[in-house]
Amino acid sequence: MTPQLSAELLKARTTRALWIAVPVVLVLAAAIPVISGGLAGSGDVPALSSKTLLDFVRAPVQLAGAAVLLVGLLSAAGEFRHRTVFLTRLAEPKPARVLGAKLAAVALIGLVVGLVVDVITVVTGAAVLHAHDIPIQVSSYGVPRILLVVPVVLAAYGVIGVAVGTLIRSTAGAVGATLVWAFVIEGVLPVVTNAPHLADRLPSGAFRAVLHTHATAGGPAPSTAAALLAAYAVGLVAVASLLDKVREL
Amino acid sequence: MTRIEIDGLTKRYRGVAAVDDLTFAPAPGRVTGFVGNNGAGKSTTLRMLLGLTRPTAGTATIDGHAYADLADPIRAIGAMVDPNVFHPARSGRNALRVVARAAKLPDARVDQVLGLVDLDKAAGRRVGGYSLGMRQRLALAAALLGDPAALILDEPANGLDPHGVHWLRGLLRGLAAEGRTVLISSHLLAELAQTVDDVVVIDEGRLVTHQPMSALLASAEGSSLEDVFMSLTTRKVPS
Repeated sequence: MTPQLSAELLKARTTRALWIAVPVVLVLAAAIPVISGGLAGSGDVPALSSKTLLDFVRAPVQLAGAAVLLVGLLSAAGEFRHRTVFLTRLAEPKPARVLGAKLAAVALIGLVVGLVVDVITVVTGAAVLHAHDIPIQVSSYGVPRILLVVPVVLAAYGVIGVAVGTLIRSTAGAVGATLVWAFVIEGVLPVVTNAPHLADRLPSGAFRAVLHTHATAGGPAPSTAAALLAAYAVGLVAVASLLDKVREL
Repeated sequence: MTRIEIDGLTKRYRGVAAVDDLTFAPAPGRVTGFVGNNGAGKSTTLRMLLGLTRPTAGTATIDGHAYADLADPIRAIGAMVDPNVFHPARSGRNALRVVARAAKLPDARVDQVLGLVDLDKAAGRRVGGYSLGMRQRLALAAALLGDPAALILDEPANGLDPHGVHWLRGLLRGLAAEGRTVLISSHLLAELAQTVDDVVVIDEGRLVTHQPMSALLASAEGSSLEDVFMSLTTRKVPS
């Protein structure tokens, strides 16, 4: 572990964002299968089956992704809000090294959160299915693939969060821009371009598509969605790195 | 001994010179005071020296290298640019541990410098609850973390009580006596006069004078540093 990565992990551990966002996600990851199990079979809610485990595993990913994205945004933009960037740059004057360490630290947090979410959802989901006398098939219906994808997807959310926070340098601005992008621009773009399937190829759509076991009608295959996500992350990091190098504090 | 050199340093913001062809070199083993009016270019100069702001022209080097090119910057230069550079939710100890980790310094060194600035009892408290003087001491502790060969301090006495100012003076004199280069900017001219060996005066980004304190006062026939400063710099009338 590099000194800068160690410093970034300590920063994350000694601020509140991580200790508020992550426990909320973990509690909800445990609660979703329990609540879903209670509601299953009533009204329009489908009855439980062995395949429901896949839904349990996927259910908290977007929420967990939003939490890791927030941790990433705050870890980068928060340095400017609290002016800690001055101490950071005095200890490591090369901005690329600082950005690299931040990306690695938040990606690592995303991976760990993803693994913990996997364990919680599988254990809770299996317990709910067992309580309803439904056979538990962890190795069927694409569950193993999704269990592997979840930590990687959360790491990608973190990387994108750090890149956006580095680009915008304001916590309120970065959070606001992310919300506007996700809830306004991604909704409007497919309409104004008259390309309804574009939504599945924009970042939020690609994050959803990568969690599918196969391509949905008009949507990208999970592997294509993964490639799109990688391209978005690499593109954002490249622009953030470039601007970080030329912009002054 | 660390040699700091400012050579033809210039910084322009939209064509306006904040620092204009500034050249000086604080001597090792001496405390150099860096004085000027608000907006004279002191902080901009120090930030360029620390690689936090990019010069329009000229160079600011430490032993011939730009700050960003130093192999071990924290050990070469201890810098204090602002007391408000700490996350308010982080404890004083953790704020310094973050810097220590990045600089490959042991946590034991953090406790040493916290003791040195008399913050050991408050080290576990969140920085958000610190007074300005305590944050100033914490920033000074951060500057001292790497046991640096040179110190660059921007307004280090701001917010310190009389005991703190007295302690700071002794600390800076002691560090210079060990052969370290100490460069401090300050508005507190009466205090500065008791601390520094040499004075660099700048006005509107340009060097006015750089000479030993004793020579400066002698040339002014016994006037105070404040009187000399007033006579050398552009008068700014508060609006």
